[in-house]
Amino acid sequence: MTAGRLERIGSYGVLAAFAFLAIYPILSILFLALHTKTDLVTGFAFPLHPDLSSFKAAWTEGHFATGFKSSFIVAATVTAVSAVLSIGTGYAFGTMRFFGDSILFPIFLLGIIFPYEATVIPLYYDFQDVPLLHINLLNTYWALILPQIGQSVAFGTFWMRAFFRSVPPSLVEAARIDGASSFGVLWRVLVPQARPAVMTLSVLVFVYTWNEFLLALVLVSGSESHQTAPLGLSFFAGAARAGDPTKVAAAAVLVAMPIVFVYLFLQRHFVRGMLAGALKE
Amino acid sequence: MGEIRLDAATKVYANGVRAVDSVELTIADGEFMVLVGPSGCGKSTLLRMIAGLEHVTEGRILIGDTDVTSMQPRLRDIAMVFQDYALYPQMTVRENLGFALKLRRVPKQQREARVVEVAKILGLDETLLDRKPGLLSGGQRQRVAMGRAVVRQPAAFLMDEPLSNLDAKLRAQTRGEIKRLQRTVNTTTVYVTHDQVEAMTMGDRIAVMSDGRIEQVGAPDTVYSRPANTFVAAFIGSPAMALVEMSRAEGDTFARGGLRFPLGDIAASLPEEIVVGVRPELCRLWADGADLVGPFDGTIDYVESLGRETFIGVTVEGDAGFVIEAEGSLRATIGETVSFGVARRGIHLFDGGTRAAIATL
Repeated sequence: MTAGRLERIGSYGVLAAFAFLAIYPILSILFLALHTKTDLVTGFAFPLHPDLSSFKAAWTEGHFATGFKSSFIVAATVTAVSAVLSIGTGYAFGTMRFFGDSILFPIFLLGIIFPYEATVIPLYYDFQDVPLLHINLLNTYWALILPQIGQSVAFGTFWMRAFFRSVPPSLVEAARIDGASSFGVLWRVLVPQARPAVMTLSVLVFVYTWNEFLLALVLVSGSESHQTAPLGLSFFAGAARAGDPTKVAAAAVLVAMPIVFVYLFLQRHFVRGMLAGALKE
Repeated sequence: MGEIRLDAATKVYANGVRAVDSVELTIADGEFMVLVGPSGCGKSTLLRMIAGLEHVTEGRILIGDTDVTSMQPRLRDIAMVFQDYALYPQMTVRENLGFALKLRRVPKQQREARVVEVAKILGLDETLLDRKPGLLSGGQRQRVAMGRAVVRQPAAFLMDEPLSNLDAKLRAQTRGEIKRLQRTVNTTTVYVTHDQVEAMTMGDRIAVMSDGRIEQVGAPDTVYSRPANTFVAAFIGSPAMALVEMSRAEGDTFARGGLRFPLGDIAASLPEEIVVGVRPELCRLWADGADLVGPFDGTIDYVESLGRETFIGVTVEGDAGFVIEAEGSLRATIGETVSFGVARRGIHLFDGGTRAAIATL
C-alpha cells in the first residue's frame, strides 16, 4: 500500500469520525422520534419498526401549525426587508464616497457586535411603550421583526458592501457614462450580478431568524398565537419531556425540518456564506 | 461640435498629490489626440476628468461650447472605452450594444437596427450578438466595447488603453482598425496609452505627459524629430535616445571625461553645460571615409538582434551610453569593444540646466 493511499484512508477515516460526531446527536433525536413511548428507548437506538405517530401527536398537541405560521411570517418578512435594505446600504457603502461614510459604516457594524442577550431587556421596555408613538408592541410580530431587521441589515450591509466592492469600478463607470442614474446602475447592472450574493444573504438571514429563540421568549411569550416554532418547542418540551420523550424528539425534528429543506436545496449558498467567514453567533 | 478644451484643468487629491497640473489643451473637432506618458503621469486621470469620473479641482473643461466641468458623465455626450472593456456580464452582446440607447428610450426597432449596423461596421458576426461577453475572445470583447461607444454617436470618444489586454499581433491589427473607424465616423477621440508605437501610429497629434503636466503637443513626426525637452526625447523613440551630459572643453568641442564631441559653429552660442541627444539611427559602426563624428570606442553592454536590424548598447569613456543601429543580424559579444561614429545631422542639443531643447543639428 503506497503512502498516498494510506494518507487518503487516514484522511477519510478522520473525516468520517468527525462527521459521525456531528451527525450522531441529530440521528439520535430522529431515531427517538421514530419510536413510540412504549418502546422505552434510552440512548442511540435504531428504530426497527419506524412509527410516525409521535410526529402527528407533537404537531397537534404542540400547536406547531401556529408556531410555523409565526416563524414563517417573521422569517420571511425579516429576510425580504433585510435583503432589500442591505442591497441599498451595501451599494452606497460599496460604490460611493459621501460625507461621514467612514464613521457611519462602523456604526452599522455595531449591529453585528451586540448580541440579543445585551439588548433584549432594553427592547422589552422600548416595545412595552414605544417612544413618541406610545403603543405596546409586545406579543406582536413587530416585536420580533423590527429588531431582527436591524441586526440582519447590519450583517447584510457588511455582506453586500463586500460584494459591491468586488465588482470592477469600471462597470459602474461605464453604466454612468451610458446614461444610467445611480438607481439605474444598481437596478440594471449590479443587482443582476448580485443574485448569488443576495441568495446567500437571504439563506443565512432566514436560517438565523427561524432559529432565534431569546427574542421570542422575552417579547412574545405572552401570546400563544404569536409564538414562533422554536419557542413553542421549548414550552412543549418542558411540558412533555418527562411524560413522552418521543413526542419531544418528534417536535424537535419538525421544527428543524424547514431549515433542513432550505439547506438541502440551497446548500451551495449556505456553504458559501460559511466559508466567507461572515456568520454571526 | 466635438471640440474639447481644457482650460487650466487641475486635479489635486485629498493627500495633496497634484495628479493633473494646470493643463491647457485644445482638441479640434474630429481630431485623434493621443495622451502618452509613463505610468503615473496623469494621462488616465485627465481622461477621467473629461469623462466626468474625476472631480476637477481647478480650471474648466468644455465640450463644444458647453462647460461640462461640473456636469454628470451621462450628460456630457461622451462615450468611453475602458481598458478592461467593462462589458455588462449578464447582458448579451446585443444588449450591451443597445444599453445606452435603451436608457435614452430609443424605440426598439430603431435600436435593433442601429445595433446590427454597428456590429457590421466592427466586423462582429450576427451569431455573436446573442452571446454573453464571457463566451467571447479578447479581440471580440474589445470590438464590442468599441461598438458600445460607436452606437451612441457621441460628440467624443474617450479610450483608456483599450489595446493593453491584447496580444502583440492583435494589438497591431486593431490599431489600424480603430484609426480607420475613427476616420469613418469622424468623431473627436482622446486616446490614452503608455505605448509610444500606438501614439506615433494612431494620433493626429500626441500630447506627451509627465508628472501631471503636458511636456509637448504636436504631430508625431514633430515630437519625434523636434522633442521639446530631454523627457520627450527619451520617452519617444525605441530604443530611447542616448542623452549625454557634456561640458564645454576647448574650441567647438564639448566633453564628458575622455569623450570629446565637436559641435561646429553652433558651439559658440551654447551654454556651458548641455545635454547631447543621439538617436540610434545616427550611431553607426565606424567605417573609414564615412561622414561621421568619431570614431568612439564603446564596450558592448547588450545586443538586440531583430532580424532586419541589430541594436548594440555600448558604454564609452566618461560613462556615457549610446545605442548603435546596424543593418541586418549582427553577431557581437557582450564586453567586446566596438568602434562607432555619429552622424552630425540630427543630433539634438538640450540646455544642461533646464533640459529644454536648444537646437537640432
